[in-house]
Amino acid sequence: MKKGMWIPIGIVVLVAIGIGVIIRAVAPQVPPPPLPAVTPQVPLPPLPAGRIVVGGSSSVYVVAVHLAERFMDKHPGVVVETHSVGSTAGIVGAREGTFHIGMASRWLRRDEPGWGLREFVICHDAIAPIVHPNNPVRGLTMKQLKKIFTGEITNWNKVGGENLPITVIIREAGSGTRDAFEEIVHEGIDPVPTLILVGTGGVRAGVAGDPSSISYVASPAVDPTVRALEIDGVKPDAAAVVAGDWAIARPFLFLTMGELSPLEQGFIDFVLGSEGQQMVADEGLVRVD
Amino acid sequence: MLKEWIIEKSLIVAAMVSFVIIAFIIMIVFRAGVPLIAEVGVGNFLFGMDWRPEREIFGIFPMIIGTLLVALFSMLISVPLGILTAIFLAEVAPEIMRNILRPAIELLAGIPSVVYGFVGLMVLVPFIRTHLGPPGFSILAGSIVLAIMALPTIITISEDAIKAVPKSYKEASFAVGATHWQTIKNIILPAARSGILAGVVLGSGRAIGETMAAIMVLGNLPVIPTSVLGPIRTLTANVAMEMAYAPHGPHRQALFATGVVLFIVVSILVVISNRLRRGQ
Repeated sequence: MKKGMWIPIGIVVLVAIGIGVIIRAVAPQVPPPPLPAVTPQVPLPPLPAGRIVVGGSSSVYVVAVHLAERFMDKHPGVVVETHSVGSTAGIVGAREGTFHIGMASRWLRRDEPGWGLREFVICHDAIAPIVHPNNPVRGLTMKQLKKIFTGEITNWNKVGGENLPITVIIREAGSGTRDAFEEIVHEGIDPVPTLILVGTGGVRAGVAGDPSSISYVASPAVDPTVRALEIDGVKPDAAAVVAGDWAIARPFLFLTMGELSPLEQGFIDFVLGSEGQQMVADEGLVRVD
Repeated sequence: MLKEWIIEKSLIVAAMVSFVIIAFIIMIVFRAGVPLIAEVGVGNFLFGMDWRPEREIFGIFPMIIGTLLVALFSMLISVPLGILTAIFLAEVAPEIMRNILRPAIELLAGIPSVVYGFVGLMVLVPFIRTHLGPPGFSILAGSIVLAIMALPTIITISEDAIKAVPKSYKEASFAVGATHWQTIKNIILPAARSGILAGVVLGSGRAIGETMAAIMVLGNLPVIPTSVLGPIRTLTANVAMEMAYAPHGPHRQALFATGVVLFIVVSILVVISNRLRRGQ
Protein backbone atom coordinates (compact mmCIF):
# COMPACT_ATOMS: atom_id res chain seq x y z
CA MET A 1 0.00 0.00 0.00
CA LYS A 2 1.26 3.45 -0.81
CA LYS A 3 2.60 5.41 2.09
CA GLY A 4 0.27 8.37 1.55
CA MET A 5 -2.78 6.14 1.77
CA TRP A 6 -2.52 5.85 5.53
CA ILE A 7 -3.39 9.46 6.12
CA PRO A 8 -6.88 9.45 4.56
CA ILE A 9 -7.55 6.06 6.12
CA GLY A 10 -6.52 7.38 9.51
CA ILE A 11 -8.74 10.41 9.10
CA VAL A 12 -11.70 8.28 8.10
CA VAL A 13 -11.25 5.98 11.08
CA LEU A 14 -10.91 8.89 13.49
CA VAL A 15 -13.90 10.74 12.11
CA ALA A 16 -15.91 7.53 12.38
CA ILE A 17 -14.85 7.14 16.01
CA GLY A 18 -15.60 10.79 16.58
CA ILE A 19 -19.08 10.51 15.13
CA GLY A 20 -19.73 7.44 17.26
CA VAL A 21 -18.64 9.31 20.37
CA ILE A 22 -20.73 12.32 19.44
CA ILE A 23 -23.85 10.26 18.82
CA ARG A 24 -23.47 8.46 22.13
CA ALA A 25 -22.82 11.67 24.02
CA VAL A 26 -25.58 13.58 22.31
CA ALA A 27 -28.18 10.90 22.88
CA PRO A 28 -28.91 11.93 26.49
CA GLN A 29 -29.68 15.42 25.17
CA VAL A 30 -33.08 14.14 24.15
CA PRO A 31 -35.62 15.82 26.45
CA PRO A 32 -35.62 14.03 29.80
CA PRO A 33 -38.52 11.77 30.65
CA PRO A 34 -41.37 13.45 32.51
CA LEU A 35 -40.86 13.67 36.25
CA PRO A 36 -41.68 10.42 38.00
CA ALA A 37 -44.37 12.20 39.97
CA VAL A 38 -46.90 12.22 37.16
CA THR A 39 -46.38 8.85 35.55
CA PRO A 40 -46.64 5.96 37.98
CA GLN A 41 -50.25 5.47 38.97
CA VAL A 42 -49.58 2.01 40.31
CA PRO A 43 -48.40 1.93 43.95
CA LEU A 44 -45.16 0.14 44.65
CA PRO A 45 -45.40 -3.51 45.61
CA PRO A 46 -45.27 -4.16 49.36
CA LEU A 47 -41.96 -3.08 50.89
CA PRO A 48 -39.14 -5.46 50.17
CA ALA A 49 -37.45 -6.06 53.48
CA GLY A 50 -34.90 -3.39 54.33
CA ARG A 51 -35.49 -0.85 51.57
CA ILE A 52 -37.26 2.52 51.53
CA VAL A 53 -37.41 5.08 48.75
CA VAL A 54 -37.31 8.78 49.69
CA GLY A 55 -37.74 11.49 47.07
CA GLY A 56 -38.69 15.13 46.48
CA SER A 57 -37.33 18.62 47.11
CA SER A 58 -33.76 19.22 46.05
CA SER A 59 -33.21 21.44 49.09
CA VAL A 60 -34.28 18.73 51.49
CA TYR A 61 -32.35 16.17 49.48
CA VAL A 62 -29.07 17.79 50.51
CA VAL A 63 -29.78 16.98 54.18
CA ALA A 64 -31.64 13.76 53.52
CA VAL A 65 -28.62 12.19 51.83
CA HIS A 66 -26.55 12.63 54.98
CA LEU A 67 -29.38 11.46 57.19
CA ALA A 68 -29.88 8.37 55.03
CA GLU A 69 -26.17 7.55 55.08
CA ARG A 70 -25.99 7.77 58.86
CA PHE A 71 -29.17 5.71 59.20
CA MET A 72 -27.77 3.01 56.92
CA ASP A 73 -24.51 2.98 58.90
CA LYS A 74 -26.48 2.30 62.05
CA HIS A 75 -28.70 -0.37 60.52
CA PRO A 76 -26.73 -2.75 58.30
CA GLY A 77 -28.90 -4.35 55.68
CA VAL A 78 -31.20 -1.35 55.42
CA VAL A 79 -31.15 0.66 52.20
CA VAL A 80 -32.55 4.21 52.04
CA GLU A 81 -32.69 5.46 48.46
CA THR A 82 -32.87 9.25 48.01
CA HIS A 83 -34.03 11.06 44.89
CA SER A 84 -33.93 14.78 44.09
CA VAL A 85 -36.94 15.61 41.92
CA GLY A 86 -38.48 18.77 43.40
CA SER A 87 -41.10 19.46 46.07
CA THR A 88 -44.18 19.02 43.94
CA ALA A 89 -42.92 15.74 42.57
CA GLY A 90 -42.15 14.64 46.13
CA ILE A 91 -45.68 15.44 47.31
CA VAL A 92 -47.35 13.74 44.37
CA GLY A 93 -44.93 10.84 44.62
CA ALA A 94 -45.78 10.28 48.28
CA ARG A 95 -49.47 10.29 47.44
CA GLU A 96 -49.15 7.83 44.59
CA GLY A 97 -46.70 5.49 46.25
CA THR A 98 -43.70 6.26 44.06
CA PHE A 99 -41.93 7.24 47.25
CA HIS A 100 -42.40 5.70 50.65
CA ILE A 101 -41.46 9.10 52.02
CA GLY A 102 -41.91 12.29 49.98
CA MET A 103 -39.86 15.43 50.66
CA ALA A 104 -41.02 19.04 50.28
CA SER A 105 -39.47 22.40 51.16
CA ARG A 106 -42.80 24.23 51.39
CA TRP A 107 -46.12 23.81 53.13
CA LEU A 108 -48.75 21.83 51.29
CA ARG A 109 -51.01 23.91 49.06
CA ARG A 110 -54.70 24.15 49.83
CA ASP A 111 -55.84 21.23 47.75
CA GLU A 112 -53.03 18.93 48.76
CA PRO A 113 -53.78 18.09 52.43
CA GLY A 114 -57.08 16.57 51.39
CA TRP A 115 -55.15 13.73 49.85
CA GLY A 116 -54.62 12.20 53.28
CA LEU A 117 -50.87 12.79 53.42
CA ARG A 118 -49.24 12.73 56.82
CA GLU A 119 -46.79 15.59 57.38
CA PHE A 120 -43.62 15.42 59.44
CA VAL A 121 -41.80 18.74 59.79
CA ILE A 122 -38.16 17.70 60.04
CA CYS A 123 -36.73 21.22 60.30
CA HIS A 124 -37.25 24.83 59.22
CA ASP A 125 -35.24 27.04 56.96
CA ALA A 126 -35.72 30.75 57.65
CA ILE A 127 -34.95 33.36 55.02
CA ALA A 128 -33.72 36.63 56.56
CA PRO A 129 -33.76 40.04 54.83
CA ILE A 130 -30.33 41.58 55.36
CA VAL A 131 -28.92 45.13 55.22
CA HIS A 132 -25.57 46.79 55.89
CA PRO A 133 -24.72 46.91 59.64
CA ASN A 134 -24.60 50.74 59.52
CA ASN A 135 -28.09 51.06 58.08
CA PRO A 136 -30.23 52.85 60.71
CA VAL A 137 -33.34 50.99 59.59
CA ARG A 138 -33.93 48.16 62.10
CA GLY A 139 -37.09 46.72 60.71
CA LEU A 140 -39.73 46.90 57.99
CA THR A 141 -43.28 45.78 57.53
CA MET A 142 -43.98 42.94 55.17
CA LYS A 143 -45.67 45.42 52.85
CA GLN A 144 -42.62 47.70 52.77
CA LEU A 145 -40.38 44.71 52.11
CA LYS A 146 -42.53 43.74 49.14
CA LYS A 147 -42.57 47.31 47.81
CA ILE A 148 -38.79 47.56 48.05
CA PHE A 149 -38.22 44.35 46.12
CA THR A 150 -40.83 45.14 43.49
CA GLY A 151 -39.55 48.65 42.81
CA GLU A 152 -42.32 50.70 44.45
CA ILE A 153 -40.09 52.07 47.22
CA THR A 154 -36.69 53.12 45.92
CA ASN A 155 -35.30 55.29 48.73
CA TRP A 156 -34.47 54.46 52.32
CA ASN A 157 -36.06 57.73 53.51
CA LYS A 158 -39.49 56.29 52.68
CA VAL A 159 -39.03 53.64 55.36
CA GLY A 160 -37.40 55.75 58.05
CA GLY A 161 -33.83 55.65 56.82
CA GLU A 162 -31.43 58.14 55.29
CA ASN A 163 -31.98 59.82 51.93
CA LEU A 164 -30.24 57.06 49.97
CA PRO A 165 -31.40 55.19 46.87
CA ILE A 166 -31.92 51.52 47.75
CA THR A 167 -29.64 48.98 46.11
CA VAL A 168 -31.85 45.92 45.74
CA ILE A 169 -29.69 42.82 45.43
CA ILE A 170 -31.32 39.53 44.48
CA ARG A 171 -30.12 36.00 43.72
CA GLU A 172 -29.75 34.48 40.26
CA ALA A 173 -32.77 32.93 38.53
CA GLY A 174 -33.47 29.41 39.71
CA SER A 175 -32.13 29.89 43.22
CA GLY A 176 -34.34 28.07 45.72
CA THR A 177 -33.96 30.88 48.23
CA ARG A 178 -35.08 33.39 45.62
CA ASP A 179 -38.06 31.22 44.63
CA ALA A 180 -39.19 30.86 48.23
CA PHE A 181 -38.65 34.54 49.05
CA GLU A 182 -40.55 35.74 46.00
CA GLU A 183 -43.34 33.27 46.58
CA ILE A 184 -43.87 34.52 50.12
CA VAL A 185 -43.07 38.23 49.77
CA HIS A 186 -43.80 39.31 46.18
CA GLU A 187 -47.38 38.11 45.76
CA GLY A 188 -46.81 37.37 42.11
CA ILE A 189 -45.06 40.61 41.16
CA ASP A 190 -41.71 40.41 39.36
CA PRO A 191 -38.65 41.71 41.21
CA VAL A 192 -37.06 45.01 40.19
CA PRO A 193 -33.44 44.48 41.24
CA THR A 194 -30.48 46.83 41.06
CA LEU A 195 -27.99 43.96 41.05
CA ILE A 196 -28.07 40.21 40.64
CA LEU A 197 -25.30 38.45 42.51
CA VAL A 198 -24.46 34.78 42.61
CA GLY A 199 -24.87 32.55 45.65
CA THR A 200 -25.50 33.21 49.31
CA GLY A 201 -21.91 34.36 49.77
CA GLY A 202 -22.18 36.67 46.78
CA VAL A 203 -25.24 38.59 47.98
CA ARG A 204 -23.91 38.71 51.53
CA ALA A 205 -20.62 40.22 50.33
CA GLY A 206 -22.59 42.66 48.17
CA VAL A 207 -24.67 43.82 51.15
CA ALA A 208 -21.63 43.95 53.44
CA GLY A 209 -19.95 46.34 51.02
CA ASP A 210 -22.84 48.70 50.28
CA PRO A 211 -24.51 50.80 53.04
CA SER A 212 -27.59 51.33 50.86
CA SER A 213 -28.27 47.71 49.95
CA ILE A 214 -30.82 45.07 50.91
CA SER A 215 -30.97 41.38 50.09
CA TYR A 216 -31.92 38.04 51.67
CA VAL A 217 -30.15 34.89 52.77
CA ALA A 218 -31.01 31.77 54.76
CA SER A 219 -30.79 32.86 58.41
CA PRO A 220 -27.86 30.56 59.29
CA ALA A 221 -25.86 32.57 56.76
CA VAL A 222 -26.33 35.87 58.62
CA ASP A 223 -22.95 36.89 60.04
CA PRO A 224 -21.55 40.10 61.60
CA THR A 225 -20.81 41.63 58.18
CA VAL A 226 -24.55 42.15 57.64
CA ARG A 227 -27.62 42.74 59.83
CA ALA A 228 -30.89 40.85 59.65
CA LEU A 229 -33.99 43.06 59.55
CA GLU A 230 -37.01 42.62 61.77
CA ILE A 231 -40.20 42.20 59.81
CA ASP A 232 -43.39 43.39 61.53
CA GLY A 233 -41.38 43.50 64.75
CA VAL A 234 -40.20 39.89 64.59
CA LYS A 235 -36.56 38.83 64.51
CA PRO A 236 -35.67 36.00 62.14
CA ASP A 237 -34.46 33.52 64.75
CA ALA A 238 -35.15 29.89 65.48
CA ALA A 239 -37.79 30.61 68.11
CA ALA A 240 -39.82 32.86 65.83
CA VAL A 241 -39.71 30.30 63.08
CA VAL A 242 -40.85 27.48 65.34
CA ALA A 243 -43.64 29.67 66.72
CA GLY A 244 -44.78 30.45 63.20
CA ASP A 245 -44.21 34.21 63.70
CA TRP A 246 -41.59 34.45 61.00
CA ALA A 247 -43.42 34.42 57.71
CA ILE A 248 -40.45 34.13 55.36
CA ALA A 249 -39.67 30.60 56.39
CA ARG A 250 -40.14 27.31 54.74
CA PRO A 251 -40.43 23.96 56.41
CA PHE A 252 -38.66 20.87 55.24
CA LEU A 253 -41.34 18.17 55.21
CA PHE A 254 -41.39 14.41 55.09
CA LEU A 255 -44.71 13.15 53.75
CA THR A 256 -46.20 9.70 54.02
CA MET A 257 -49.39 8.00 52.90
CA GLY A 258 -51.23 5.45 55.00
CA GLU A 259 -49.76 3.20 57.67
CA LEU A 260 -46.06 3.52 58.32
CA SER A 261 -43.97 0.41 57.90
CA PRO A 262 -41.52 -0.28 60.73
CA LEU A 263 -38.68 0.83 58.49
CA GLU A 264 -40.30 4.15 57.53
CA GLN A 265 -41.19 4.74 61.15
CA GLY A 266 -37.60 3.93 62.11
CA PHE A 267 -36.13 6.42 59.63
CA ILE A 268 -38.54 9.20 60.62
CA ASP A 269 -37.87 8.55 64.31
CA PHE A 270 -34.15 8.77 63.61
CA VAL A 271 -34.51 12.08 61.75
CA LEU A 272 -36.71 13.59 64.46
CA GLY A 273 -34.56 12.14 67.25
CA SER A 274 -31.68 13.97 68.87
CA GLU A 275 -28.99 12.61 66.56
CA GLY A 276 -30.91 13.42 63.38
CA GLN A 277 -31.83 16.86 64.67
CA GLN A 278 -28.22 17.55 65.58
CA MET A 279 -27.22 16.70 61.99
CA VAL A 280 -29.96 18.99 60.72
CA ALA A 281 -28.76 21.82 62.98
CA ASP A 282 -25.19 21.21 61.79
CA GLU A 283 -26.42 21.88 58.27
CA GLY A 284 -27.51 25.33 59.45
CA LEU A 285 -31.22 24.64 59.70
CA VAL A 286 -33.69 25.23 62.51
CA ARG A 287 -34.22 22.03 64.51
CA VAL A 288 -37.74 21.17 65.59
CA ASP A 289 -37.17 19.17 68.79
CA MET B 1 11.82 3.46 8.98
CA LEU B 2 9.27 1.98 11.31
CA LYS B 3 10.15 4.58 13.91
CA GLU B 4 9.64 7.37 11.37
CA TRP B 5 6.33 5.88 10.45
CA ILE B 6 5.15 5.63 14.06
CA ILE B 7 6.13 9.20 14.85
CA GLU B 8 4.50 10.56 11.71
CA LYS B 9 1.23 8.77 12.38
CA SER B 10 1.11 9.72 16.04
CA LEU B 11 1.46 13.35 15.01
CA ILE B 12 -1.53 12.95 12.73
CA VAL B 13 -3.48 11.28 15.50
CA ALA B 14 -2.63 14.07 17.91
CA ALA B 15 -3.78 16.69 15.44
CA MET B 16 -6.95 14.76 14.68
CA VAL B 17 -7.79 14.43 18.37
CA SER B 18 -7.93 18.17 18.86
CA PHE B 19 -9.96 18.50 15.69
CA VAL B 20 -12.44 15.87 16.82
CA ILE B 21 -12.75 17.48 20.26
CA ILE B 22 -13.55 20.85 18.72
CA ALA B 23 -16.04 19.34 16.28
CA PHE B 24 -17.61 17.48 19.18
CA ILE B 25 -18.01 20.64 21.30
CA ILE B 26 -19.46 22.61 18.40
CA MET B 27 -21.96 19.85 17.70
CA ILE B 28 -23.09 19.55 21.31
CA VAL B 29 -23.54 23.30 21.73
CA PHE B 30 -25.37 23.80 18.45
CA ARG B 31 -27.57 20.73 18.84
CA ALA B 32 -28.68 21.84 22.26
CA GLY B 33 -29.02 25.53 21.45
CA VAL B 34 -30.24 25.92 17.89
CA PRO B 35 -33.67 24.24 18.36
CA LEU B 36 -34.57 26.79 21.02
CA ILE B 37 -33.51 29.71 18.84
CA ALA B 38 -35.67 28.27 16.08
CA GLU B 39 -38.59 27.82 18.45
CA VAL B 40 -38.39 31.27 20.03
CA GLY B 41 -37.52 32.88 16.70
CA VAL B 42 -34.14 34.34 15.80
CA GLY B 43 -35.45 37.89 16.08
CA ASN B 44 -37.12 37.33 19.45
CA PHE B 45 -34.06 35.62 20.84
CA LEU B 46 -31.42 38.04 19.58
CA PHE B 47 -33.43 41.23 19.99
CA GLY B 48 -35.73 40.33 22.89
CA MET B 49 -35.38 42.75 25.79
CA ASP B 50 -36.57 40.44 28.57
CA TRP B 51 -34.74 37.52 30.12
CA ARG B 52 -37.15 35.76 32.48
CA PRO B 53 -36.24 32.08 32.37
CA GLU B 54 -38.85 31.23 35.04
CA ARG B 55 -41.53 32.39 32.59
CA GLU B 56 -39.75 30.98 29.57
CA ILE B 57 -39.10 34.41 28.09
CA PHE B 58 -35.66 34.35 26.52
CA GLY B 59 -34.35 37.60 25.03
CA ILE B 60 -30.62 38.20 25.09
CA PHE B 61 -30.35 41.62 23.45
CA PRO B 62 -29.33 43.46 26.66
CA MET B 63 -26.59 40.87 27.17
CA ILE B 64 -25.30 41.20 23.60
CA ILE B 65 -25.17 44.96 24.12
CA GLY B 66 -23.55 44.43 27.50
CA THR B 67 -20.90 42.12 26.11
CA LEU B 68 -20.06 44.52 23.27
CA LEU B 69 -20.03 47.59 25.54
CA VAL B 70 -17.72 45.98 28.06
CA ALA B 71 -15.42 44.79 25.27
CA LEU B 72 -15.44 48.25 23.69
CA PHE B 73 -14.70 50.17 26.88
CA SER B 74 -12.02 47.74 27.98
CA MET B 75 -10.36 48.12 24.59
CA LEU B 76 -10.50 51.91 24.92
CA ILE B 77 -8.39 51.50 28.03
CA SER B 78 -6.11 48.63 27.09
CA VAL B 79 -5.30 49.40 23.44
CA PRO B 80 -3.48 52.74 23.96
CA LEU B 81 -1.81 51.40 27.10
CA GLY B 82 -0.84 48.13 25.43
CA ILE B 83 0.53 49.58 22.21
CA LEU B 84 2.54 52.26 24.00
CA THR B 85 3.98 49.63 26.33
CA ALA B 86 4.85 47.44 23.34
CA ILE B 87 6.65 50.34 21.62
CA PHE B 88 8.49 51.08 24.82
CA LEU B 89 9.58 47.47 25.27
CA ALA B 90 10.62 46.97 21.67
CA GLU B 91 12.24 50.30 20.89
CA VAL B 92 12.95 52.47 23.90
CA ALA B 93 13.46 50.45 27.07
CA PRO B 94 16.99 49.82 28.24
CA GLU B 95 17.97 46.18 28.56
CA ILE B 96 17.56 46.08 32.36
CA MET B 97 14.02 47.48 32.33
CA ARG B 98 13.03 45.14 29.56
CA ASN B 99 14.29 42.19 31.61
CA ILE B 100 12.10 43.24 34.53
CA LEU B 101 9.02 44.33 32.59
CA ARG B 102 8.66 41.41 30.25
CA PRO B 103 8.45 38.69 32.93
CA ALA B 104 6.09 40.94 34.89
CA ILE B 105 3.75 41.17 31.92
CA GLU B 106 3.95 37.42 31.39
CA LEU B 107 3.05 36.97 35.04
CA LEU B 108 0.05 39.23 34.51
CA ALA B 109 -1.17 36.76 31.89
CA GLY B 110 -0.76 33.86 34.30
CA ILE B 111 -2.84 35.25 37.16
CA PRO B 112 -6.18 33.39 37.38
CA SER B 113 -9.25 35.43 36.50
CA VAL B 114 -10.90 34.97 39.93
CA VAL B 115 -8.02 36.89 41.42
CA TYR B 116 -8.64 39.83 39.07
CA GLY B 117 -12.33 39.59 39.83
CA PHE B 118 -11.71 39.51 43.56
CA VAL B 119 -9.41 42.52 43.50
CA GLY B 120 -12.00 44.31 41.37
CA LEU B 121 -14.73 43.39 43.84
CA MET B 122 -12.76 44.45 46.90
CA VAL B 123 -11.03 47.57 45.55
CA LEU B 124 -12.65 48.90 42.37
CA VAL B 125 -16.32 48.35 43.19
CA PRO B 126 -16.23 50.15 46.56
CA PHE B 127 -14.07 52.91 45.05
CA ILE B 128 -16.52 53.54 42.22
CA ARG B 129 -19.50 53.41 44.58
CA THR B 130 -18.10 55.98 46.99
CA HIS B 131 -16.42 58.34 44.52
CA LEU B 132 -18.54 58.13 41.37
CA GLY B 133 -21.88 56.84 42.58
CA PRO B 134 -23.71 53.61 43.44
CA PRO B 135 -24.01 50.72 42.94
CA GLY B 136 -20.30 50.31 42.12
CA PHE B 137 -20.89 47.04 40.27
CA SER B 138 -20.72 48.58 36.83
CA ILE B 139 -19.57 48.59 33.24
CA LEU B 140 -16.72 50.83 34.35
CA ALA B 141 -15.49 48.36 36.97
CA GLY B 142 -15.78 45.48 34.51
CA SER B 143 -14.06 47.38 31.71
CA ILE B 144 -11.08 48.25 33.89
CA VAL B 145 -10.67 44.68 35.13
CA LEU B 146 -11.02 43.19 31.65
CA ALA B 147 -8.68 45.82 30.20
CA ILE B 148 -5.96 44.75 32.61
CA MET B 149 -6.62 41.12 31.70
CA ALA B 150 -6.34 41.86 27.97
CA LEU B 151 -3.11 43.85 28.32
CA PRO B 152 -0.61 40.95 28.19
CA THR B 153 -2.13 39.66 24.92
CA ILE B 154 -2.00 43.07 23.29
CA ILE B 155 1.50 43.87 24.53
CA THR B 156 3.17 40.60 23.57
CA ILE B 157 1.62 40.33 20.11
CA SER B 158 2.23 44.01 19.32
CA GLU B 159 5.80 43.78 20.53
CA ASP B 160 6.43 40.75 18.31
CA ALA B 161 4.95 42.65 15.36
CA ILE B 162 7.14 45.68 16.00
CA LYS B 163 10.25 43.53 16.32
CA ALA B 164 9.40 41.76 13.07
CA VAL B 165 9.75 45.01 11.11
CA PRO B 166 12.98 44.57 9.03
CA LYS B 167 15.94 46.40 10.48
CA SER B 168 16.70 47.92 7.08
CA TYR B 169 13.51 50.06 7.26
CA LYS B 170 14.68 51.60 10.47
CA GLU B 171 18.22 52.17 9.20
CA ALA B 172 16.92 53.77 6.01
CA SER B 173 14.75 56.11 8.06
CA PHE B 174 17.68 57.13 10.25
CA ALA B 175 19.81 57.58 7.14
CA VAL B 176 17.50 60.24 5.74
CA GLY B 177 17.69 62.10 9.06
CA ALA B 178 14.49 61.08 10.85
CA THR B 179 14.52 61.10 14.64
CA HIS B 180 13.79 57.95 16.63
CA TRP B 181 10.19 59.02 17.37
CA GLN B 182 9.59 60.00 13.75
CA THR B 183 10.87 56.60 12.72
CA ILE B 184 8.58 54.81 15.20
CA LYS B 185 5.56 56.86 14.20
CA ASN B 186 5.99 56.92 10.44
CA ILE B 187 7.88 53.76 9.61
CA ILE B 188 7.70 51.10 12.29
CA LEU B 189 4.09 51.42 13.42
CA PRO B 190 2.63 51.44 9.88
CA ALA B 191 4.78 48.45 8.98
CA ALA B 192 3.67 46.56 12.08
CA ARG B 193 0.04 47.59 11.73
CA SER B 194 -1.49 44.25 10.85
CA GLY B 195 0.25 42.45 13.71
CA ILE B 196 -0.79 45.10 16.20
CA LEU B 197 -4.39 44.92 15.03
CA ALA B 198 -4.32 41.14 15.39
CA GLY B 199 -3.22 41.62 19.00
CA VAL B 200 -6.04 44.07 19.61
CA VAL B 201 -8.64 41.70 18.17
CA LEU B 202 -7.32 38.77 20.23
CA GLY B 203 -7.33 40.99 23.31
CA SER B 204 -10.96 41.90 22.74
CA GLY B 205 -11.67 38.19 22.36
CA ARG B 206 -10.22 37.74 25.82
CA ALA B 207 -12.47 40.51 27.14
CA ILE B 208 -15.56 38.98 25.55
CA GLY B 209 -14.78 35.45 26.68
CA GLU B 210 -13.89 36.28 30.26
CA THR B 211 -16.50 34.99 32.68
CA MET B 212 -15.50 34.77 36.30
CA ALA B 213 -14.14 38.29 36.72
CA ALA B 214 -17.11 39.65 34.78
CA ILE B 215 -19.66 37.99 37.07
CA MET B 216 -17.88 39.32 40.14
CA VAL B 217 -17.84 43.01 39.22
CA LEU B 218 -20.54 43.64 36.60
CA GLY B 219 -23.70 43.32 38.72
CA ASN B 220 -25.29 40.90 36.21
CA LEU B 221 -28.53 42.77 35.58
CA PRO B 222 -29.86 41.84 32.13
CA VAL B 223 -30.98 45.33 31.10
CA ILE B 224 -29.49 47.91 28.75
CA PRO B 225 -27.61 50.39 30.94
CA THR B 226 -28.07 54.15 30.86
CA SER B 227 -24.58 54.97 32.11
CA VAL B 228 -21.15 53.39 32.50
CA LEU B 229 -21.87 53.31 36.23
CA GLY B 230 -24.78 50.93 35.70
CA PRO B 231 -24.62 47.13 35.95
CA ILE B 232 -24.76 44.83 32.95
CA ARG B 233 -24.76 41.10 32.26
CA THR B 234 -22.49 39.51 29.66
CA LEU B 235 -23.30 36.44 27.57
CA THR B 236 -20.70 34.34 29.33
CA ALA B 237 -21.96 35.41 32.76
CA ASN B 238 -25.49 34.41 31.76
CA VAL B 239 -24.42 30.85 31.00
CA ALA B 240 -22.20 30.47 34.04
CA MET B 241 -24.69 31.91 36.55
CA GLU B 242 -27.71 29.85 35.64
CA MET B 243 -26.27 26.55 34.41
CA ALA B 244 -26.50 24.86 37.80
CA TYR B 245 -30.23 25.61 38.07
CA ALA B 246 -31.19 24.47 34.62
CA PRO B 247 -30.74 20.69 34.53
CA HIS B 248 -33.04 20.28 31.54
CA GLY B 249 -35.80 21.88 29.53
CA PRO B 250 -35.99 25.18 27.67
CA HIS B 251 -33.94 27.13 30.22
CA ARG B 252 -30.93 24.89 29.65
CA GLN B 253 -31.44 25.06 25.88
CA ALA B 254 -31.57 28.85 26.12
CA LEU B 255 -28.22 28.86 27.91
CA PHE B 256 -26.74 26.70 25.16
CA ALA B 257 -28.28 29.09 22.63
CA THR B 258 -26.46 31.92 24.43
CA GLY B 259 -23.33 29.84 23.92
CA VAL B 260 -24.09 29.57 20.20
CA VAL B 261 -24.28 33.36 19.88
CA LEU B 262 -21.07 33.76 21.86
CA PHE B 263 -19.36 31.14 19.72
CA ILE B 264 -20.29 32.96 16.53
CA VAL B 265 -19.09 36.33 17.87
CA VAL B 266 -15.74 34.93 18.99
CA SER B 267 -15.27 32.95 15.73
CA ILE B 268 -15.72 36.13 13.74
CA LEU B 269 -13.08 37.83 15.87
CA VAL B 270 -10.62 34.95 15.43
CA VAL B 271 -11.10 34.95 11.66
CA ILE B 272 -10.53 38.72 11.53
CA SER B 273 -7.44 38.35 13.68
CA ASN B 274 -5.96 35.62 11.48
CA ARG B 275 -6.59 37.65 8.32
CA LEU B 276 -4.90 40.67 9.87
CA ARG B 277 -1.94 38.69 11.06
CA ARG B 278 -1.36 37.25 7.63
CA GLY B 279 -1.32 40.86 6.42
CA GLN B 280 -4.73 40.79 4.72
